[in-house]
Amino acid sequence: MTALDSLLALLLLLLAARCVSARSLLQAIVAFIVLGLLLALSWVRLEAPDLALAEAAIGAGLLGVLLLGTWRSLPLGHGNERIPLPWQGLRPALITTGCTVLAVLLTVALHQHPEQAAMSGLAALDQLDAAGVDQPVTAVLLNFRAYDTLLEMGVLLMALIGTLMLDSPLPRDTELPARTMLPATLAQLFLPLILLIGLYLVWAGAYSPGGAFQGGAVLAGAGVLLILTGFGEGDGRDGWVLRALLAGGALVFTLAGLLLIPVTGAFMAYPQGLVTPIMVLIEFSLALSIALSLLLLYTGTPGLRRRGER
Amino acid sequence: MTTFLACGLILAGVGFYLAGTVGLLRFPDVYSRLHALTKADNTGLGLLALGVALLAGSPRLALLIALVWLVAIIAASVACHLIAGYALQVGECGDEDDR
Repeated sequence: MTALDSLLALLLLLLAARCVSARSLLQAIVAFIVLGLLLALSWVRLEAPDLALAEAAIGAGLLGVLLLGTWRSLPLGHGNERIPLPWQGLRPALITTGCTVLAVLLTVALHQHPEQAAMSGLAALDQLDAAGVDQPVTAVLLNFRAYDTLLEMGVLLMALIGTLMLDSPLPRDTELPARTMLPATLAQLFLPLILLIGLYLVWAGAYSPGGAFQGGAVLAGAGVLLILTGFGEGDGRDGWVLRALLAGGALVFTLAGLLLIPVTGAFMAYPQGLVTPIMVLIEFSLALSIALSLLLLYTGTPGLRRRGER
Repeated sequence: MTTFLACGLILAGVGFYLAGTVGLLRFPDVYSRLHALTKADNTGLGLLALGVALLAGSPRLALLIALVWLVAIIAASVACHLIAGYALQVGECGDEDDR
């Protein structure tokens, strides 16, 4: 398997180089999507299926859709000019130097404290019984380091609010020409499957690889499919249901942490008997919020509606 | 015996993939490239899936692999249809990516 791994590493480097030296923006985007897929494969090889799922769903899938959507709404001829190579001009040279220095510093930092990193992982595994879920990654994300995950949800919401405040700086043609529309049969065939897989991933997060972020991204993919097949579209107005669902993840997470302070005496500590149902509740509300935020980032609008509805 | 058969199927599948890739690189226009890619790759994927399902040895895994094969084939046909339709609409644009 060493040969396969070496080939994978080599391909990753080549594709990364291709991303920054592609002849046009579109080629760079395509190289970036393929890079994401191979990165997911590398995480599988490194036995980190959670990261592989997240990378495939968010890194290669949704990020690719967002980049292609942006490219599509660029004015004609824009983005076709050649991207300067790292040594052509002061700015690319500065960025390249900065990135290289960062990479070297990160490598040094990683190699300085390997024992401590291993220790915290073992400590988490020791406490797994108290976490209410059988999957170590989910236990760390939702219980031991719940605060980080809550802030991540906040970052995603902030990104969405920031995008909406920009009020679509690019002229966005929401009316796709009929020819580039996906056939409606595709949605009818795939939607039940995608919904099943998305919900399963959220549920499975408790005992096997999966979780709110991976499941949420797959559910967002179902939404993108609905828009591309012409069943739904972005809406300029939003309703309170949508807002409630968007804020739901962060709200449920915070409320569960706050309301149980009198019982447990600490923020985001959960009583022994209730920990599993609370985890599942948090996981599902997070997944819905993540799915909706990602979908709205794609449409670039505050709301959604059925196509043709006013 | 099963292992032998599975290896044969996987090798044949890889052969189809190779032929499809050569076709993609060598054929002159979008339509014949699509032809080479979709026909050869779908057959290649089918043979590969069959071989891997034989090696997996459990009916449940084999069924899952069959499902993956089916979904991949539908996705490939739709992608092919879209690219061909787009090429027909805007005309051949060769290697440039102007819209």
